[in-house]
Amino acid sequence: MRCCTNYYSMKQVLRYILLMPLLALVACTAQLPEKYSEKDELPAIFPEYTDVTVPCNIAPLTFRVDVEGDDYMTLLKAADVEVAVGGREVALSPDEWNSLLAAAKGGSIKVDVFVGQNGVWEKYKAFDIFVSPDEIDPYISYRLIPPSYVAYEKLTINQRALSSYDEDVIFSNMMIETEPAGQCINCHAYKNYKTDNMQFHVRQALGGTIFVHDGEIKKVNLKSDSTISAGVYPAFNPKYDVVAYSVNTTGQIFHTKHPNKVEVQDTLSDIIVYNPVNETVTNVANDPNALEVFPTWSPDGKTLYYCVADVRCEDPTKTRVTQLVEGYKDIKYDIVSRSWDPETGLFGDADTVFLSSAMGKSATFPRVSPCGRYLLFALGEYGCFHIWHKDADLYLLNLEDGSYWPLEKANSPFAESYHAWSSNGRWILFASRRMENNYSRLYIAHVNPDGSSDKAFVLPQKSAGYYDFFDRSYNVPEFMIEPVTITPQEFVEVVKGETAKVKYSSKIK
Amino acid sequence: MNKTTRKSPAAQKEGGVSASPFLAGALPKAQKYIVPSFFIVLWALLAFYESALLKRTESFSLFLFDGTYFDTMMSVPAGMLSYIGCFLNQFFYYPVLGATVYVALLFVVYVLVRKVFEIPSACSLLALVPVVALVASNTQLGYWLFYLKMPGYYYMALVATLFSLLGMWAYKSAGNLLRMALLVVWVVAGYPLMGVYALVSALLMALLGIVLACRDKKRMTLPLVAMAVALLLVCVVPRLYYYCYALVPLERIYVAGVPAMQWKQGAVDGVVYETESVWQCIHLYWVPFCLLLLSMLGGAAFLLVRGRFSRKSITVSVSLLFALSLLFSYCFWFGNKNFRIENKQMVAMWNEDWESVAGYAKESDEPTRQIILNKNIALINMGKVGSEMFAYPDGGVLPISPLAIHMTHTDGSSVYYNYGKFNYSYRWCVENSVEYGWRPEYLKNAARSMLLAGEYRLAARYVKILKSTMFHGGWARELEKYIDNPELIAGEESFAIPLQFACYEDVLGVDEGVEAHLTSTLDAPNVQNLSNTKMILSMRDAFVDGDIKALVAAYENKKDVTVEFIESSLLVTLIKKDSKRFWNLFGLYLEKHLEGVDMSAGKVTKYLPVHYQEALLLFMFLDKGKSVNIGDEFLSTIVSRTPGGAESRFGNFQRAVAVNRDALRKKYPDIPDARMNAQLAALLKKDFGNTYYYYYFFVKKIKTY
Repeated sequence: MRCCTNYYSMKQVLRYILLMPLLALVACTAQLPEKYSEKDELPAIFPEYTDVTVPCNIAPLTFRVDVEGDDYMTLLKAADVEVAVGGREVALSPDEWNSLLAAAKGGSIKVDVFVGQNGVWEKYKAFDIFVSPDEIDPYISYRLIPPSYVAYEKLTINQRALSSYDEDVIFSNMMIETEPAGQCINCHAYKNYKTDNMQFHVRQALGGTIFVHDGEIKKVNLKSDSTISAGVYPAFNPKYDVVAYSVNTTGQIFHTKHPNKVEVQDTLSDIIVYNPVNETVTNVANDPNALEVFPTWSPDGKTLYYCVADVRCEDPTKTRVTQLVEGYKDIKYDIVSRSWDPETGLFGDADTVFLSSAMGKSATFPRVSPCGRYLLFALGEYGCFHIWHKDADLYLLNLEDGSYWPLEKANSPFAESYHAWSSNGRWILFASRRMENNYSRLYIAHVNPDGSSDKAFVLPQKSAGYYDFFDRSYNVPEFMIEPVTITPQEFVEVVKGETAKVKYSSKIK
Repeated sequence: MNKTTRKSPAAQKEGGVSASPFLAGALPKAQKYIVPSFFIVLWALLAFYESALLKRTESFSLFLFDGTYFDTMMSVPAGMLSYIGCFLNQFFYYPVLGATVYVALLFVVYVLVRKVFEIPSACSLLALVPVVALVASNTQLGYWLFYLKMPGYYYMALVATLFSLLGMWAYKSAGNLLRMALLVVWVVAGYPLMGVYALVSALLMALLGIVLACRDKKRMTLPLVAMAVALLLVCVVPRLYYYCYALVPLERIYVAGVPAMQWKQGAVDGVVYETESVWQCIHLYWVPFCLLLLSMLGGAAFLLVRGRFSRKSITVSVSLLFALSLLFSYCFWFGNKNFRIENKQMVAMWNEDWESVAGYAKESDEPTRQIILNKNIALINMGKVGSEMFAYPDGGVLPISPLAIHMTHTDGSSVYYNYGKFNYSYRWCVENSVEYGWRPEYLKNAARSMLLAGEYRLAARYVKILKSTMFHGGWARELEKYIDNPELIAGEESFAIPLQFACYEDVLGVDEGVEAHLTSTLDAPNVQNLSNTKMILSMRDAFVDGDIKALVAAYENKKDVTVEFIESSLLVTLIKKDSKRFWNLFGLYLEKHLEGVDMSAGKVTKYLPVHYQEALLLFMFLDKGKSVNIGDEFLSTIVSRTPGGAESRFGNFQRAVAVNRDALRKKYPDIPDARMNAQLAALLKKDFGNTYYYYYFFVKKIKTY
């Protein structure tokens, strides 16, 4: 294919600039076409919001009609509220949207799309935006990361208000130093959806865990002589002052051809518990023939769930890493649980919760619903890092009777992972690469009392084309009931400051 | 209110300089021609001599008319400069147009410098000094182009200088109170937009106020207060900005807008300096920026002192300064031949002009591995690799740069694409985009790699972005045709070779370097074995499951290595001088080479490409019949044994080596082996420099990166 050029884009831009006042006028005086033919198909829109279920306190769903035409008109109706919007991009003001939400609470907003071409209008099949009366937590936070593998500039942990498009940076790695002396930042987590107890890690230069304990910030090095690394995947105990972590030795290796492109693999991993009061860490699970990872607590704080994969590296002629890389498809994680007595600090024996390996599958990232009834996890063919596995889907396990099922309406043929429950247990937030198998975007799905889910919708943005050009992936989304109020500059001071060192203790005090 | 534009008594004489026979005569006349000539020559150099460089410069900065893009740009101090810089940078897509825009803006700088500092026609050459500094800040870059973390860099200093000069002009024209207001607005509003340039220009404005007051013998109170205010604002505003808004390191707030981190990175990397070059010293990269600042300070000083010196001293100074400027331009113009060849090759590769890609490789005295890889890709595309690959300058010097250059950061992605390594090509586009931002070049490689990898949605994403650019939309629309109709891919000529290379099974791996990765993975027998093994395992599983469809699919999905893959494996083997791998491959290659030839039909000849003949003869000679035995009759089928053919030429080579070695030994009995080899290489290059055996014995110290 040879190089060729054109000026169309520039012309288009100039045309848009010239037509902008006219378009604005049209938008203000939107009128529905009087004559049109009906088309028996849903309009192509982006993002895909047809028949999704949204909470009654979500920001306006801005979308674009992806059908060729000269003129566009969209009518949104709920009870006695009607809003007509002209133009290809359907962007409602907060007032218009909120009045529609209020009118449709428990019902739906009906959306009619009209597309005109050469003066002839077609009306597409109407679709619904169902409005659940279940509210969603007001804030979420997530890490924004370019979907790269080893380069780690421009990482931020952001927070976003769900009822608007307001977004703030909690921390940015560009505030300290760029590569080669830069940092990776990851694994932000909160206790009970609140931000007075939270944490995230800073890796490489000035590395440590930035830990907010009852509002006080500190930097801690969670690596002890008896653990294989500093803390990685965190889980705040919702009731007691301890945090479970996995400790991992992780590597990346690249597919020459497979669309998954990369395998992120642990070659060693254990589970520890950190006591932020005494500054101690304690091993919880450290079987040398097993990889233990992704801890999470039950809502009462008395059961610890995590994933475990049995690995046997028995070929003395090859290193452990080589054997694990060669057998990467054979590494299958199960979900286990262990009871914990807060009085004695002792854990019970491991119980198998979900034996995915017996099905030839690998279950990761368990998350217990706030009511304690369901366990949400990602299930894929192998390995632990399902966000890079195209086959990974979200599943629910009923902890009471052991039944499980895929969240069909939330899943897609692409990777789903990094999921979280809202504080009321009615919504899940997760990352999916469904747009083009590369950039993970945040989706929200309603979970019904029977454990089924409704169709998920992508996190709404002010502009419909936002995801076309935004070149970073969203990962580790978490719900919050309040925003982080510590400024990025305050975090910077802590990152640059002293690092507290933990001691190893054989018992959780 | 005092009007500061009023001319001083000295200035009122004749353009600010005391009239003199010389200044009224020869120099002004000469300058009348020198100044336009300077801009015309500069334009011609950029538009024609450096056209490939300009095209590449364009491909390193992306500009989009998009809100998210704008917000991203403006989120850091000096973001506006970057934004405008990226916009203007696009015009380098057409080097003549880009050079015209660039030189025109430089001319505006020249005019403004003369206006602001009241430089008369007689001294107009002085106003070229900042222009030279601006040009040098770009022409000095060389391989830094790949590593700059500032999109739009080419125009950033230029645009900042333009705005600064306009600001200074306005400052000069304003009254004292208005000046104060301008100063405050300039720093508060200008810092987020222009970074350090706003701070420096604010100080220059305040300095200008003092100079003008001094010159016009006005009260100094207000200008001094303005300077104090400027100093205070310069200290305070960036810090306020940091605490209230910016997500940049505190240490960088006073250098926002100049690429400080890149220079630091080069120094941190502890680079091994390979050649004696002015480019060795990392700190020299600051010189043009210092000269720019000095030229502005000089302009202010000129305002103060003009008319106070004799015509002779002014004549000498102006002439000397201009001569020094030209020398400076020359010294800070990165003219490394290999860098220029790489750029020209890449532009030719974009146009699929393979003849030119290979042709440019001949211009190098000692090429980099990038040049050789590009040349080999061109020869593969022209079907000439076996007959011409050693007929070009060979070796492998490292690129001249104070940075440690890695091919993965430069043109590795393009190399991977051409060798069918689509995932790795894509990977390095993404990795590099994290470091340096998305660039049209990355977007194109990402789009075409993912297209050929069958990931159409992902390819479409990058195509969509490219369609929004001013000049790459046509390319993107062309590619979109294949995304919408993947069945057309097989019929597109330019995709044929990369697809022929993609005949391998997926494996997990890492790449320590582009060439090293290709060397280890272009291994046809191993790739064929992997494919066979995969087929056997799949068929076994299907058989156990009783799945007939899967059984058939396993057989049909088996990949046979293609002739291009085998030939490239052979190419790698020859480059690595690995006779063992050569013999492993040779049978596989012969099988393809002799496909369709009826060997029973008496005496048939189907000669191997000449370099394979040379390699075969050489390795047979080195083997001395120990492990390889090729029948004489069969050898005649594949090797030219006629006078002047490969065999006789190899004989000539052996004799020439023996004769010259004996002669050298006789002349210099104690000559060390290394010296002997170097001498022999020089003596034999003319007659045998285009043969494989010459490469085998005399081309050494190959440095890949």
